Amino acid sequence: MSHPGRVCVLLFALITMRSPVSHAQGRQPLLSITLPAAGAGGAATAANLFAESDMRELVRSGFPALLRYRLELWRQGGLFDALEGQVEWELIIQYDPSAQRYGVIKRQNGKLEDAGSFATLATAQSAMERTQRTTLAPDRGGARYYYAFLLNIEALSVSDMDQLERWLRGVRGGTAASAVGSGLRTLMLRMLGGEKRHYQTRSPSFVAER
Amino acid sequence: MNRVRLIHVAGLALLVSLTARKADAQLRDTANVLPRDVAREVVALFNATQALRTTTRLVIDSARTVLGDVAVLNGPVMIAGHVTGRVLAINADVILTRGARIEGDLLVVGGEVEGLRDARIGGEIRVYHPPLRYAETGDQLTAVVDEGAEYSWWQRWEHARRHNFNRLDIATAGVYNRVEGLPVRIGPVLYRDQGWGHVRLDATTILRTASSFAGSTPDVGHDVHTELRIGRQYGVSLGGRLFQVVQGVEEWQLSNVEVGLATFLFHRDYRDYFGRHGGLVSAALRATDNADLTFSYSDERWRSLDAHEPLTLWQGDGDRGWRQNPHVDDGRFHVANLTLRVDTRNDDFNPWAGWYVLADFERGAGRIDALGPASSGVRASALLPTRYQRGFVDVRRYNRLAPSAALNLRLVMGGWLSGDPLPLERRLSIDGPGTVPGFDFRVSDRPDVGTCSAGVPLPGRPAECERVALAQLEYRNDLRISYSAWEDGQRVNQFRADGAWVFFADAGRGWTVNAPGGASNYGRKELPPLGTYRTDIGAGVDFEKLGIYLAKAVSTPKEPLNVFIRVRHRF
Repeated sequence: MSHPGRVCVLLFALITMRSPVSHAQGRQPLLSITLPAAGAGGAATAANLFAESDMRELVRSGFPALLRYRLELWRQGGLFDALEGQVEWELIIQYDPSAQRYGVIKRQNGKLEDAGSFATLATAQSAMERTQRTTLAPDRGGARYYYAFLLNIEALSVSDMDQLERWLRGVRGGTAASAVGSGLRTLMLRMLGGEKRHYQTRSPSFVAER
Repeated sequence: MNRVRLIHVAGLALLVSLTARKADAQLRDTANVLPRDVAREVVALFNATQALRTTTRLVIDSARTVLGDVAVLNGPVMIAGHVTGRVLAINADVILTRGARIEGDLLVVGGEVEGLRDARIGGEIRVYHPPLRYAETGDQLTAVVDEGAEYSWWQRWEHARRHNFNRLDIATAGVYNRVEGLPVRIGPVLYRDQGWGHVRLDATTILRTASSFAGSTPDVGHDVHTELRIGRQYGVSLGGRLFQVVQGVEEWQLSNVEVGLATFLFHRDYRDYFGRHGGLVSAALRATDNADLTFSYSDERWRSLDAHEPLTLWQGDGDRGWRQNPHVDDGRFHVANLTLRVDTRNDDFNPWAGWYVLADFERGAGRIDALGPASSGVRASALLPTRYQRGFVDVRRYNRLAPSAALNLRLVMGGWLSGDPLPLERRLSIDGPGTVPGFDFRVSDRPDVGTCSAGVPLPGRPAECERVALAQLEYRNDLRISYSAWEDGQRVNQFRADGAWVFFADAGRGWTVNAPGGASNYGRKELPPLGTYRTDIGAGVDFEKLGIYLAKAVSTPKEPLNVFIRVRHRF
């Protein structure tokens, strides 16, 4: 392999293989989907939201975290599977060190809602892990369906790739001081291992009731 | 050197820590207290409301239309009809029934909203559970606020996105490249949220690390851009721009991130560049956030630029210099573009279904003062006044075959449509890792169907094709890599990475249409035979942020196996 090839492989390995600790001992969010009862929609639950130590430390250090959820309903059949519908919602959490409380808000369909203030990360997390029920239900009796549930977690303004991309392509940044502050903050977050995390799961296929 | 770096890092960490502490100290726990700023905002809105204001229960039935804003104190509010303005509910619940329509914002303080699913809200929806504490003086409200209270973090965060601002902008002005080095934009930004839309003005100077600080030929650019946007999700945008910038000749093949990283890390710049200096006006129709139609018209001067010696981390073998930035046609042009963008993908980061369509029609007219060098036989005549039409279409379709598998397709076609031969700035190529990666970048074979060069290669090997066609096909399937070991009598995961296997095939080539007798020339209504296309196959693993691939040329088996990395998906 040529030198550039070796450098490519090394870079790739460094970037993609640097997270064994974060996944150690199965410590990562656990997504689950509840299939719908007759006439109802599917429901989704994400547990272990801050099981990864670096993300937990970021939140405890006061960096807001954005959790973006999406539940999709797919219908099998024909050449390709069809996306029948999707529901999206977001939760944002930030620790307030002066009050020593964790604030949580929920955003869905453009509506912003205060989901409460909690004394510990564990209680905030349990509130965030409540099952989200949806109206996403199959409408073709006898057809095969499945759900896909996706969760993106990122410390706000922390996504390494987005920061890098913005920097490389140009972005409306802020004042010089804030740009420098943002850069330093990103540097620190990178050292802490902050980044965007992507998780997904799928339900087993099921046949919709007629 | 290491010591100096250590001190720098320690200083940065201290500074970050102090900055964070200062910011944290400004935060107060106001979970059950309405933020001061919101209290003042709603009181001001209530007092200013003219169309319909009440301090009791309000019902707007389905046959009723309220022209203007509605403000309700101690409601509740039941809406089945139509409100042309904003609805403000203070210490009141809002119940929307089927058919309810609010064209402006819905702002609820000290209450809840029901029935959003059945209603249509044109503006933003904000709901604050804490009630407003107020005093009444005649028909005016006064907020009773705790002057010591600050916003809660998320209200500050949310408001920061909407508020008017004036600030100094400092950011990169484009991709890191061998002509400019790092272009840095510095200047003021003015933003005014008008409710019905916004007005924005950016006036920035562009400093280029490779050329702006040269004593002999300081090169400083500018980019002044103003935009008037009417409507939030859909509507119209009008814009104007004055610029002196560096533009890539072909920006469709690789992303800016990939080009910048390759330049900075590996001393390889996969783009060519030219200078643009002039002014532009534009108008855009936005159907949604994911579909728009833009018309622009510009009067600009194009010029050739030379490569410099920007910093690169890995110089490579020996004292290899940068690839020359090819010279292009210098002159003044009037350029009109009509661009359609439609994006129905379910996820732009990791799409599984949907379409992405980008279609552009360009009409250019102008006068070429100095022709750039072209391969012999590629350009039939040296026309100084020139007029051309060019089209470009990039269509991508994402298909889920099964819960864990996808088949994605991309078709790109572009180039000359009518008029005079295309100027060199508007020519195209099928070359390099963004197109048919089984072939090396700018290492031409004969005939060169990648860049359409002929004879002795020109410095920098510019793109000289007048038309290109590219088809890309990829099959993706879930890949999970994990490693587990026994610890304390139980098996635990030590490592896990989720990604996808990718198998792909590509085919494409470029050709000319206005150079009779040229090796890569075909008639204006002809397509080159399929056997002349560059083709390759390959495979790789994609871990969403980065993918590493192997590609092998099929149409030219002697080409060696190529290894390449793409940031995010190939397309």
